[in-house]
Amino acid sequence: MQPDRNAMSDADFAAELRAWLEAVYPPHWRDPVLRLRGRDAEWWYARQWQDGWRAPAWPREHGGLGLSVEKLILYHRVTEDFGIARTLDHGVKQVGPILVQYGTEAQRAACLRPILEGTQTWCQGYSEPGAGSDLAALRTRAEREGDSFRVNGQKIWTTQAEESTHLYFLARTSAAPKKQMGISLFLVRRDAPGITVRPIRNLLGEREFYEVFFDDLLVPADAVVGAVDQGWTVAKALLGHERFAQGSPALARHTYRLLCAMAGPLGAFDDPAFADRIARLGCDLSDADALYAENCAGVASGADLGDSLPIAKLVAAELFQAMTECLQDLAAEARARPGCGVSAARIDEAARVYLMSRPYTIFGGTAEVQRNIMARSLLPLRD
Amino acid sequence: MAALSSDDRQMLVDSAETLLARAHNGARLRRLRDQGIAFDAGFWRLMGDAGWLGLRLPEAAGGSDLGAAAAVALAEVMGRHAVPDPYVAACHLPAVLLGDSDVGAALATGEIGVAVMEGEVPLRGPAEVAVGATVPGGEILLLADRGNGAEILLLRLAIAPELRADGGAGGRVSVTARDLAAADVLLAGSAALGLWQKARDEAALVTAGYLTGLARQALALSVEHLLQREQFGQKLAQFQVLQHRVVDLRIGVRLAEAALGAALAAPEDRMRLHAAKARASAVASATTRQAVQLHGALGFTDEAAIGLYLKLAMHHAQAFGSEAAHRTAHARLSREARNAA
Ligand SMILES: Cc1cc2nc3c(=O)[nH]c(=O)nc-3n(C[C@H](O)[C@H](O)[C@H](O)COP(=O)(O)OP(=O)(O)OC[C@H]3O[C@@H](n4cnc5c(N)ncnc54)[C@H](O)[C@@H]3O)c2cc1C
Repeated sequence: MQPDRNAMSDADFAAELRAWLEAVYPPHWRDPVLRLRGRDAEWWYARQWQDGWRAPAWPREHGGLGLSVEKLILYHRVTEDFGIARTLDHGVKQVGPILVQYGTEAQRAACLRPILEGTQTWCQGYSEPGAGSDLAALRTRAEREGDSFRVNGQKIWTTQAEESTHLYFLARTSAAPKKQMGISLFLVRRDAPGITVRPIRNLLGEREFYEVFFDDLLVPADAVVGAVDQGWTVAKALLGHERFAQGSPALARHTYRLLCAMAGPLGAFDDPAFADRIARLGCDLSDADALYAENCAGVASGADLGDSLPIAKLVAAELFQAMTECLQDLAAEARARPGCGVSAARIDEAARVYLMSRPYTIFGGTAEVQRNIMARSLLPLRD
Repeated sequence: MAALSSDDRQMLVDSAETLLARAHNGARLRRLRDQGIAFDAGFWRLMGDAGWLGLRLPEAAGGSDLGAAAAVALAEVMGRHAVPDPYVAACHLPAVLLGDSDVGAALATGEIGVAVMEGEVPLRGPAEVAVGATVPGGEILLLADRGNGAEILLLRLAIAPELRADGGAGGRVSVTARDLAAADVLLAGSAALGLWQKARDEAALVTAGYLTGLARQALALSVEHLLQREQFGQKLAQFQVLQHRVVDLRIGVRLAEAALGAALAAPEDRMRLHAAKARASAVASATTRQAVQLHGALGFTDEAAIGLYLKLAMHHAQAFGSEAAHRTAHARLSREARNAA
């Protein structure tokens, strides 16, 4: 059992979390742009578990910290301010909450504890070559054969597929009149016979996402989460989980600090064009912060937030990108002015952050698709 | 100052909605403009009777001392209804400067409005001065330096009305050396400068509320239009490019609301204030421009309501500091904070 920290005062809670991070977190990982993977990520998950700081949002009866919303918000704030690296951690963020809501006793027993311990890690097989934004167009088939399903098809963009021990994926289990019907959600070991993966190099030169091929993969029927053919509902339910945190402008703030640090030695604050741009970004950050704070307060008080959560998510992603664009332009200045006091490492960091920010308007629902969804409620058309 | 509970706020908003629905509409606005009426004394009186003009005044002056939050709530409703009357320029701003003087008491009832010199640099001698409103009684507040440091002065002078292309009404006053010498002193010294600044800050904040309410309504009018008008055999609202534009306008309005809330919650934080007015000015301008575009030719008519919103946005986006001015001020404070750290 991890300790129950809900009774602590906010100040004590924050101080204890902070002190723990100071004590155990490797200083060279204090970079919110970094993403841990493989052994590094596993080490960090295990450490969180040993020290009683794992799975903040999971209910206590399932081994999580069971934090109240207020404490959860604080948890995010402290870890962001500290500057911890990002982790995929689909086990904690996605699979655990799904199993708590839809899983069988056996599924929970097989997964929850190992996820907490950091020995079972998960990747997500949703997207396919023909099913991106239009996820329901997916064509991977799972056909019933006695007590099993036989799976054939292909996934793509599966992040960290190679090092993950497990995969959860969506496949079509029956032909249905509406394409969202007839889809099921499966859990499977990544090393099951019939699964092969192939890395795809991304713009940063990393091999972080993969193609996943299913060739006559056999999965037992009890690997389906929730009812057969109801996978769309199961997968959708997840989207609500800790969704407020996606609106945090932490990466934008981090990049704003980088660009202010570069602008100083370059004298860019005294350059009219840069000064105006930075001034604009400073105001944008202030307002994004204000919106995120309102959302956190609203989540905590149970208020109806309307469209404020998706707005904050879009704002945070697009502002992060705008920050990296300004940083990159400052880096160009720095490159053109040898001896200006900005190191080559800083200049290269700008390019990396610029690249790294690109997918923030692509994954988890593209910015355009999010606008489509928001437009539906803003402009209610009767069909 | 009394804190504004959410019930009080709702009551204020409801009563403002009721009164404005009854006593104000586009026809009134157009009539004032067409007849060159810079100050509608009858409507001003109504606002006084409703208690709006005393919101910011101390109880000793017949006010309710509810502070900026109440004024912002009220201004949002005024923006929503496209009310052209100079509530901020001729009531809220002077109320902060006047305190519990007799003039404050007359302001609270709606007997008079009070004009205030534009700008924050003290007047150093006779000059022609721009004021934010034309008030019939000619009560004017000036920031001046007559040789002994800054002073806030109260004068009574004829104001020449100035009707602008954006429909807003300001005024011009010739201040002579004799006028300056004869003026009443309300406050002197660094306290005068501080109060002047505080009053302008509050005016900017309340104006941000007005602009936010205005932008929200301009968006609602556009949504209504897109849902009703058909071209190419479908509703305009079915065109994705227009849907995305509406979403972007909604995002702007939401940010303006959040920025305003943050500024109200931290009255001492001038960075929040600058961010809020910069955002509100930008959002109201962009929303009304897009709204006109989304209305097509109808948007360019004097008859359609949306044009009134565009012009009021033009006027108030500039009042008490434009987007650029506040953004620059935000950047200056942000730089000072960084250097201090
Ligand atoms: C770094 C990264 C990691 C990822 N990790 C995973 C993972 O672990 N597991 C997983 O399953 N998936 C993952 N994805 C995939 C991600 O979910 C998809 O990229 C996303 O759903 C978009 O699909 P797509 O790439 O096929 O783009 P498309 O859907 O082909 O879109 C291309 C462009 O068209 C636009 N567009 C599409 N439809 C519309 C429409 N109706 N209206 C207007 N514009 C439209 C899009 O906005 C976009 O600009 C990852 C993606 C990235 C970039």
